[in-house]
Amino acid sequence: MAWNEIVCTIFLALGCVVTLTGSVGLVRMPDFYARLHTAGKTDSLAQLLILFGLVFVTPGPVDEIGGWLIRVKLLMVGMILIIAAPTATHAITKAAHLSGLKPWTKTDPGGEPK
Amino acid sequence: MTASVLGIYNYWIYVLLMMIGLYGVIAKPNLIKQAIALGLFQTGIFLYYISMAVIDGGTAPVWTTIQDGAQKFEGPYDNPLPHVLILTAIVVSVSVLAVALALIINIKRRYGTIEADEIDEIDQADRLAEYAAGQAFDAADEAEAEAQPAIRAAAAAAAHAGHAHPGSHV
Amino acid sequence: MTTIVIIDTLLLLLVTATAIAIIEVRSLYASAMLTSVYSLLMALVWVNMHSMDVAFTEAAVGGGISTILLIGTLVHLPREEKKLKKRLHAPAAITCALAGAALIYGTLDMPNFGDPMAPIHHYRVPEMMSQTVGFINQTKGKQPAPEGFDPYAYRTFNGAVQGIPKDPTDTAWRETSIIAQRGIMVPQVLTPGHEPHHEAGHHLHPPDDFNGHIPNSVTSLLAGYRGYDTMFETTVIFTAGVSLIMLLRRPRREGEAQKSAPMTDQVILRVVTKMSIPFILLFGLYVITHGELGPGGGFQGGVVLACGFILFALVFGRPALYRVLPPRVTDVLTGVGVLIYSGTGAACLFFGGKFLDYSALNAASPGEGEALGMTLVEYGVGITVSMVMLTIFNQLAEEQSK
Repeated sequence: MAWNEIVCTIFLALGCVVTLTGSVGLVRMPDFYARLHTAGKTDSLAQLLILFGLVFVTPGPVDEIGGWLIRVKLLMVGMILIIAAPTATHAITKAAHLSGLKPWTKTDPGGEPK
Repeated sequence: MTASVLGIYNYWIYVLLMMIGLYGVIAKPNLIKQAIALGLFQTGIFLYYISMAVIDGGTAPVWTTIQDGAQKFEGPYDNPLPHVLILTAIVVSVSVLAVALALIINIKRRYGTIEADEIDEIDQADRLAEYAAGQAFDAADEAEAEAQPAIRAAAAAAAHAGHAHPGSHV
Repeated sequence: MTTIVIIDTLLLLLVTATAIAIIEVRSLYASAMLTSVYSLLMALVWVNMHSMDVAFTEAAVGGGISTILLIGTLVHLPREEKKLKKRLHAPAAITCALAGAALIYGTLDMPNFGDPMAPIHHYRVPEMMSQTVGFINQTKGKQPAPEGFDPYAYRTFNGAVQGIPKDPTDTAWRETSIIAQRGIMVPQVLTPGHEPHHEAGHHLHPPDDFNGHIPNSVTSLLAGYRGYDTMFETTVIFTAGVSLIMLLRRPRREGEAQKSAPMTDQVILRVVTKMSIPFILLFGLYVITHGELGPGGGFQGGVVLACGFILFALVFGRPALYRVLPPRVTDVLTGVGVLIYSGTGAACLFFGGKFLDYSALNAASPGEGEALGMTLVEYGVGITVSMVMLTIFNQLAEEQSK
């Protein structure tokens, strides 16, 4: 395997591990805010890792301007998502907070206000 | 062309998806659920169609960039014709969903519920009320018809009495 | 097993699980969100099958617009489905099982998945696909048929093929088919004693075929070979917009203010939306225009444009949107898109060709005329789709007065 394929594999594997952690958290966490915490954060990081890893295996000459077109597009998608994904998480959490959902604490299970 | 189970089992999964959608349309009384399940059915059909266009070792049917009149990629391209047909079908499916949702909003306004069996009951009650009102109207009509000869006799008697005393009506 | 089939199976497990969840879940909001997940997974399945245009459309339309319409409707409706007395509806299950068994019996006749010798890849499609964009002899556009060529005689299937020029080295107007070079697709049915002919080139087309010469063969088929289909498709979308207006639009009474709750006090949402909307609209226009050279086209780009306007309406309120795009402008533009499409077809008539025969638009170079015609009709489709989606959202999100 050439060096760029090894680097790409490392980044893709990291991205997959981060996503898996987020999914496990989505199932195991006790309340809405904790679940959103895991899912939202890991989502934003994993997409950046995966897209960055894919830049290394894009075919095309590296020393020409034309060869960088697809790589720049991948990075641009990553930049857009790093702004949009946390905003979406913020919007969901704000909506839950404004509708009165109370967070879970050890003594009080939270949930909808009684 | 011999087909084996390994070659066609994926079509069976697509049929399963279609049948899940069809079950949703038939079995669920909620109108929104029926609209969503119809979309599931349609998407299953699209999947079946697109899978027929795949060729082993093929790639997306976009010609890659040209160098001196020759193609960069020499391999087989996937069949683009099913893609074209499904493109229009997807947009038709969202149009159907939009009109269905508008009709459901109007149904909610008219009936107050969006469960199909409750709507049936309200319709049934309306029909029975209409029938009962129709029966009552018919009964009143008949009674009036039966009373007609007596009324005419009374009117004739009054007119006769009027003629007998010519100076009475002014 | 090929890689496609393995990934296909794994993705389809997820898709089936999501489908069952959509049917069984009682909360309607959850059903709407699961429908969005289903559409995105379906788009992934189609990317796996190399169908980029279809995946793009499904992701934009199913994952984007359908979800917005469903949630916009659910504002006015009860949130949960009524509890059913029986878990499983037995007659429906039996009907679906029987129908599924009949369909599976039908699939027993199908060729293997990915079989290059399947009948669907023969006869018409290889002729339409056997075109290169830059021609070997550097001549662009349609070529006139050679002397003595009878386009209807070559399609006999009795084993003898007529109408092919005798000189195989005649390259003055011949294009070589990529598929024929690889020998994978044979344009005619093999009969005993009949040589499959490898010249599936452009000269075998009847002189009036409608296919185009742009790199994205899906868009070229959509606007060329299926041009009428797409034109009436645009009319279907226009009709859906008109039906929504007729079903839901109420005349505004005097003094009744437009009730809406803009989210302008949410700083993060407001700032991020202001930053993103220009790029979303630009991307929509890019997708419409670039549909000839890569995956994209009128439907996908129109939906992205509509999503930009809908985002503006959600965050800044519908009165703000009505200041930018008043309803009468939206109504007029829905018709203008269909007019552009049919107008391009009529313009081809005026230039001496047939209806929707774009090569007549540029007599000197028919290939350029086709590219121009297809760009124009894609813009027509894009305008109609975006304005109709915006109209549908506006009507569904209106406050219903009792």
